[in-house]
Amino acid sequence: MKFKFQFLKIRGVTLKTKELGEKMEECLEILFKLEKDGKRVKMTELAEKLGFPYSSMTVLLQKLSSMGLIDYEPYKGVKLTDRGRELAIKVIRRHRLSERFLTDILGFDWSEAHEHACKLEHVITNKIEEKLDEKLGKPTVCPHGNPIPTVDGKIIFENDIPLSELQPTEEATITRILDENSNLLRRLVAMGILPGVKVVVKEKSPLGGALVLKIGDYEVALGRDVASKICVKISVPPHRRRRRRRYGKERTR
Amino acid sequence: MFCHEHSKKAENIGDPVKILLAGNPNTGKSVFFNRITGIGVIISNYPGTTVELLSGKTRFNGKEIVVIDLPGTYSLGAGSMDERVARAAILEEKSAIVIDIVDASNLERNLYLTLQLLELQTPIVVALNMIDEARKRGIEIDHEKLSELLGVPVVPTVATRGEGIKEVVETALKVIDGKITIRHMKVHYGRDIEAIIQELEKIIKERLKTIPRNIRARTLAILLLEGDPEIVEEIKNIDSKVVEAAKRLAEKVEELHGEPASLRIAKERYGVAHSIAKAVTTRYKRKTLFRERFDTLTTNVYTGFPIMICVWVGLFSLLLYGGSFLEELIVFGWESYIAPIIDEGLSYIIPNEFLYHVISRGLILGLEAGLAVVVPYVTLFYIALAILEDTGYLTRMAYLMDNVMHKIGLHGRAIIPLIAGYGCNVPAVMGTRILETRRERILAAFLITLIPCSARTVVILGLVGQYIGLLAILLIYTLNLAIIGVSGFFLNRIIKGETTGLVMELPPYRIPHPIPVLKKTWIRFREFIYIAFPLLILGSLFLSTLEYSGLLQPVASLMSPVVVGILGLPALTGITLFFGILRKEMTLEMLIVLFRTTDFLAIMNIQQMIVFTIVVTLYFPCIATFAVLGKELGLKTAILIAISTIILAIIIGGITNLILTYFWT
Repeated sequence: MKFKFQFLKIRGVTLKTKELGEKMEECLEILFKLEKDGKRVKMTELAEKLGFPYSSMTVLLQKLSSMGLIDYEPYKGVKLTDRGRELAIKVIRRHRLSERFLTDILGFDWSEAHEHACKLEHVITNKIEEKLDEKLGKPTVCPHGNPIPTVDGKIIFENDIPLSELQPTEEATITRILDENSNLLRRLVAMGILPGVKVVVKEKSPLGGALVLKIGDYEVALGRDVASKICVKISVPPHRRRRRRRYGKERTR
Repeated sequence: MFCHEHSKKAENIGDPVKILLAGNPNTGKSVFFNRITGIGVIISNYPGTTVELLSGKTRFNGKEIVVIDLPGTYSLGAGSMDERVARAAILEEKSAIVIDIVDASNLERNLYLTLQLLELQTPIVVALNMIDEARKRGIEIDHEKLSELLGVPVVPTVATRGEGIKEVVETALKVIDGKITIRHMKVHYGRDIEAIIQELEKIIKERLKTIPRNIRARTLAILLLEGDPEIVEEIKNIDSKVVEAAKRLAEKVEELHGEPASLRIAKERYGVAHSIAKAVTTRYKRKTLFRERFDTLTTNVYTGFPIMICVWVGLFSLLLYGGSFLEELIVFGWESYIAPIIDEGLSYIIPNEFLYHVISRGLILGLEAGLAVVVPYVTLFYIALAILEDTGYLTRMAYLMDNVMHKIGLHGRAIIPLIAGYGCNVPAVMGTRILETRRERILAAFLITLIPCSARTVVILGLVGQYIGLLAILLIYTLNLAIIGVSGFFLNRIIKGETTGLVMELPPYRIPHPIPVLKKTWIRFREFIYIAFPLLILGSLFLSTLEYSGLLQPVASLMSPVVVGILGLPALTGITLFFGILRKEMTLEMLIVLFRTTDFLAIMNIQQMIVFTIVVTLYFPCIATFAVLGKELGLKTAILIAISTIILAIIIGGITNLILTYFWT
């Protein structure tokens, strides 16, 4: 995206178009993340997350507002417009694609990927984005298990279903844990149940009963209520797995 | 045990060396503990908690060693009381060495705890346990490489066969003597997390002169970023600014990564564990073990439930037949040989006839009560329970029953103490410790008191079984289950508090080892004796005093409005109910004593028998159970539970009486 305004003073330094663009993109991205429940975001909060001095914020927000990307009312807070949200999702898409690129192709450690992706996301053009997506095999989640928005700006959670919906022998990767109760999260994490981990449903009791998960070398029983708070993305559907198993048996005979 | 003075003293030469056993549950920790220590095991609650610590002494190369078995935990965050205690013990025992028992067949997840131990900078030796098990599963681990990576000694062991145990202890002693130096591996996080950790570390160093419990600044920074509730609270009291800074930085992590700092840090720690495990593990192809096939059968919907029912039937028939056989044997032996000797001995010692009667009767009956119930039923039950526990079957049962338990506000794990209740309520109430919240414990404990234990089973069999028939027994048990279900359903609505779901590891099936099974039985048995025996004897003395001072009749007439009016029972049965408080089957024995006949039909009609049996099953959870309830949940809760059960017994008994009067006659 191109910005018409060329100058913006931040901490006394005049930013060039490119840097300004980066900051604006980042601002949109953060707004998108903060906005989740549809409420207006306070300017102080935004400034803090962005690492910007409060004084420069007004200028930045006014610019974004005049471009029709945000809805900004002094003293009330900021909200993304539809166009702003679109752009924010695009930035997130590029960020997560970059992360995948860094880990899958360049072999970065995934704990480092985020930091570098922060830089990379701003220099990716539409063309690069398209090629990258292709090269990576159209990934749907970033290395951390968060979903990558699609080209038309949808954040797919369609493959992201509660673990409790999984059928026996289905294999999936945990994407999110909806934690209302941090104690539960702690218990799950301590047992190795966290985003990015591959699990197989081994058994499932009928009538809302518990399920048995296979995680690597061990098995864990989860209550249906707990399982419904864990979101997963199916990687191997049940029928494919079964067929594979049958082949294996024939071969050994 | 963990007071400060003591740990200072332990540093002096000549004092026993302390070894703390840490590790995940199901890693063979208790087998390991039993292998090191002898029979003299002490159970103590960690100060201010209900978490139990086992400790035992041993001598090794002329050195006295105290081994403390910490509760098995998956991590060291203060998520549960167990984790809190494990960490507190490790931090307080500065002079002690930690042996971290790691399951070789499940290295990656086990290493998570190891990494947290390394972060605490305590001297540790890793015991790579169950290498035989790992080999069977096609996993080979290069322990030398693991030792090199972690910077601490790693000793392969097979605790069940005692292999490598000596070497572990030897290595631990060498570490204490400084013959082996430990280089704790530094757990590296991602660059941006590291930057944040360092920033917080700097703030901590600037603001805090001393850090409580000698935690390193870096470790403290990580703990604060993880939002560890206990540590955050502790530091808040010293300098709230540090906690605020930590909160701000944790938010920064969340903003950077789109997930809470605690999750992010855990994820990266798992990443480290994963890469270490990957580097030292070689995997081979292997066949599916028979045990694994059996495992699938026990958790499968169609085969799991039938197997579970078979196990239950087996367990109860063992108790019923084996237990009653042993009981008869013991009672016969006691009454014909030992009791007369005590009686005669007492008659020589005590000159006063009244006092002699009171004491001799009280003592003999009290001891008999203990021996007749405890020895046969409880011991058998404990052995069976320990075997089921050690094979890993109990967890499968918990998995299958999760659904049902949810209906009464509990989750699958509660099935374990509830089943134990059929043996004896006392250990069952103690067993509720495995539940996470107080709400769940109260709920489970209440329901346990309604479960017919072996003593109540004797009454059911002796009255209803003998005079009415098998169908009536089944009816009473079904009614009892219904009452438990309905009570649970309503209690779930009444008792407020947090509910937790089932998150439980299903360890692979293992063949139980006789020594830990017997030792576990002995420890539980001993604990039971400490609580139950003195109470049985005291209660017995009290009742015999009432009896001989002629106060029983007035008491019975006091109770008659309820006993005769509502329940429609003969007035004198009120007295037997009074004795039932001591031990439920005494209601039956007292009937014989009071009415001087063994033909119960002469005392009660069929209708009264049914009502009597129901009341006996439900009212007041015997004095020993009451004492345990008081100890575990507080006196107030215990009294509340006791009163509720009495009211419940009167209501259900009254209704049954009414219904039977209408339809019978």
